[in-house]
Amino acid sequence: MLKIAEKALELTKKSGADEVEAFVGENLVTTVRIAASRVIETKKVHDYGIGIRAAIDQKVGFACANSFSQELSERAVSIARARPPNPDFNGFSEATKSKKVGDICDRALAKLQPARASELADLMLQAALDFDRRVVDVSGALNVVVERCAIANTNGLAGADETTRIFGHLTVESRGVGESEGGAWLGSTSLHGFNPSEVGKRAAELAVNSLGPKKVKSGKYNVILEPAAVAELFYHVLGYAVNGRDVHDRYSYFTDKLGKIVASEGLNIYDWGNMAGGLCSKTFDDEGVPTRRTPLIERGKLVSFIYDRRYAGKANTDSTGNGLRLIDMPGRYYGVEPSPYITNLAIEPGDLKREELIADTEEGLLLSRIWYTYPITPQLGDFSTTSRCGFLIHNGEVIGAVQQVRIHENLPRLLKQITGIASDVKQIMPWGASGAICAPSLRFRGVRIS
Amino acid sequence: MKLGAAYADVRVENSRNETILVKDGKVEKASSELQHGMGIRVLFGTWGFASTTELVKPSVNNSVRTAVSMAKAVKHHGEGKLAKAKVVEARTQAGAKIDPFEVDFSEKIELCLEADCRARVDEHVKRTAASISAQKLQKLFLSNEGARIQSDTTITYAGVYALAKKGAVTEYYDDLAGGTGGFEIVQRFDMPTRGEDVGKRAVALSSAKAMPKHKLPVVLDQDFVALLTHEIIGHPSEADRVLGREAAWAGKAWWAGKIGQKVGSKLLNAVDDPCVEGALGYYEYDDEGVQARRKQLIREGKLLEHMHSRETASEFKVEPNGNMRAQSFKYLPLIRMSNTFIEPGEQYLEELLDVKEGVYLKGAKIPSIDSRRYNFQISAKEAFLIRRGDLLGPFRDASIMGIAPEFFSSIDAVGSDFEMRPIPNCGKGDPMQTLYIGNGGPHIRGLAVVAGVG
Repeated sequence: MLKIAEKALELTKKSGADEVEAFVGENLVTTVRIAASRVIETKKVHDYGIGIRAAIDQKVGFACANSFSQELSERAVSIARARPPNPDFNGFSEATKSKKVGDICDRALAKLQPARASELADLMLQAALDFDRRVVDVSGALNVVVERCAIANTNGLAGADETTRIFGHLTVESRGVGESEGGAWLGSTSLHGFNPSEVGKRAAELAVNSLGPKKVKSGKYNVILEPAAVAELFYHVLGYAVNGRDVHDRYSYFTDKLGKIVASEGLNIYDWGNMAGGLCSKTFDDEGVPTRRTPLIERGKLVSFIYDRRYAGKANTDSTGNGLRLIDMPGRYYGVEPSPYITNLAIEPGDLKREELIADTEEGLLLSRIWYTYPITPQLGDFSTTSRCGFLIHNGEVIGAVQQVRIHENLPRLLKQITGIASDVKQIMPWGASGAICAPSLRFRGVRIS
Repeated sequence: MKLGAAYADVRVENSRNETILVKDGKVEKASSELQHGMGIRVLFGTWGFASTTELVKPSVNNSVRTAVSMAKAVKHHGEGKLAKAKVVEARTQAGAKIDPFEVDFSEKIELCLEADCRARVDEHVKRTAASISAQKLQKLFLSNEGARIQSDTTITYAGVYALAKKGAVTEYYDDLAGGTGGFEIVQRFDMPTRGEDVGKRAVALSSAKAMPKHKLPVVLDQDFVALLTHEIIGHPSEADRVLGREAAWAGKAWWAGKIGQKVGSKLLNAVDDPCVEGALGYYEYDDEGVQARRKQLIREGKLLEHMHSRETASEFKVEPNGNMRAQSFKYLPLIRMSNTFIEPGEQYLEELLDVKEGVYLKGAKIPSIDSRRYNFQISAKEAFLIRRGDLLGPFRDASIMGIAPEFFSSIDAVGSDFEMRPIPNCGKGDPMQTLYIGNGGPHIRGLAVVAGVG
């Protein structure tokens, strides 16, 4: 792949470009979908292509195709010639040597036979069905993603990267006193780190424990969000707020808040692109900048944002190694230009065990999963969501399941009302997410429930 | 078929995309994308699917073997019955009056720069953007049953955006036009004028008061109705959701098992129709080769029909109605909306606004819907208080909250002023597939809780 990228540089230079960057990507995505308690679909996507950025006097043209040809080089150059310059263009990445990141590529996973993925999905399913006779329906999926890429530019940058991940999730419905559901998500960068039966058991256990839910009154509650719920909330409602592009665009509620206290003192959050074993870790980003650990919130203070090279230039700072090429399909996609995206958004765990956090809560709600959580007024951080699995806490004990509640709240306000952080960190990628959240259970005070 | 599949089909695609994005007076993106590839689907009770971008014999053969081996490895297969569909040989074209790729690249850039500039109506406008995108897609569908369908489609869309800040208040406004067709869509949209309009609206909202909380009659404009229809009529009408097959992702449908039952007021009539020419969800054959047709989802408040694949049509014992679509050859098709809308009534907007007290919500922003499409909240771009036909406002940061059947039953007035809107980013599936959809309707009036800021 690197040879193709280097060949593309040479021919695009000959076509008239001053500076060139070539990115070659190959993604293999295997998915096994489960519904109605059986495997209904087995799929494998093989996607390969090359994207070229050609620059002439600060005019950048981008073109991509599924294979390299002289025509592709000429197309990128002709687009560059047809457009006016952008003074914000600050060149391509310098040639920097990236350090190896541990546990992000597993040969066993990269070579996994597609039929084996079907068998692993069956194990997830069977574990859920075998857990309890009250389990009546199981749905979910197993995904295996292999990302390969190479990048080269006319500054002498040349590098190749490969990452793997496997993740499974299930939603289990139970029937007893009424109907309920539970869900579980588990991911790993290696085959040996993934236990398919654990996904089935966890989802089924939650589904059975959720039976007989009671209605709760509208009002303000202490709410403990478990890791899956924290991941959903922070991916959709915090992720854009710490993104340098959305800060520049004044779409983020953290615009003009750098250096200010934005959260409770105990909260520390990082974007950690080179975390060993991180589901979305990489050796370098899709502009060739080495990935790193970027503190975003330290002891409640907003200290930085994530950047690609373009938005770092606009903010007079350096790229944080977050310039990624992402679309809906998992993988590093050759067909788009880089933009800033989170990699692994890591919330530092607290000292309390999950059970201790619950025991420390006199009255409140424990929400295991929330759903369709979007910032309905993004520049303010207002969001709306509904619960899919929740419990009532009374005198420090979980006393039973609760029916669905809606939360219409403001995340900047809630960030300052965090009263407990547990140690139970899990790596989770919400549905359709391109980044991972490393989330512990968090307790918030005064959450408005309707 | 030699490998034992009960059914097989192939989709081969060739696409060309172009995008121009101007932000704050500078060309941020100028790109050209060429894609080709093939997806093969085989049925062994369980679906097997593989796609590749390498259209050479070894890769194609490997994809076939992969699709077959994965499906065969599954322990417990379903029945995998497909409803009969007419085997078609056809060639279709949804072309452009003005080919967007023949319009000079620099002319499109100039147009975006002008629209972006016009959006900066005064010093309160802090960010602006304008964009034009176009796609030409050639598809070939083949099945072992003998179907052979070739289609050529051109899609074009354009958007403008402005964000304004006054004091501590930041507000934004955007507008989008798009559909099957060519550069004539961009010309009709009149980007510079629309740019100026979104700039003015963003400035007006940045000095507007926040909407207080009410439970009042609400009048919703066509853009808001488009998103409302999308979320609480279109999605729950997908038969895979009705059957619970999407429970782990997009969710289920509260009206499962309620075909033939009343779900709303007599004034509620809803349709899914892929055959609306020019709309963003236009097509003649779906990605299973089934001929597209109009479906009356709801008539006079009664639930009549869902959207089907050949597989779900077999389970419901109905004829397939042409709603299986994939984002591209890379993906296995799913049941998707085409152009889903509320049909127009007979009333004028002035009649809808003739209430003692109410709230008029214009332009849809962002939704949050529960997993059964029952409990919803959708924010609006701008809102006005209604006092006996007069409008006070605008107010910012308004949203409505409701329970779908209660809201449907409360609809007491439906306008005649129908509009179709483009929704270019509807997500469903695993991996997620983002699809072009058309949604629309007229102004409607119902009862909902109007919520302000969180």
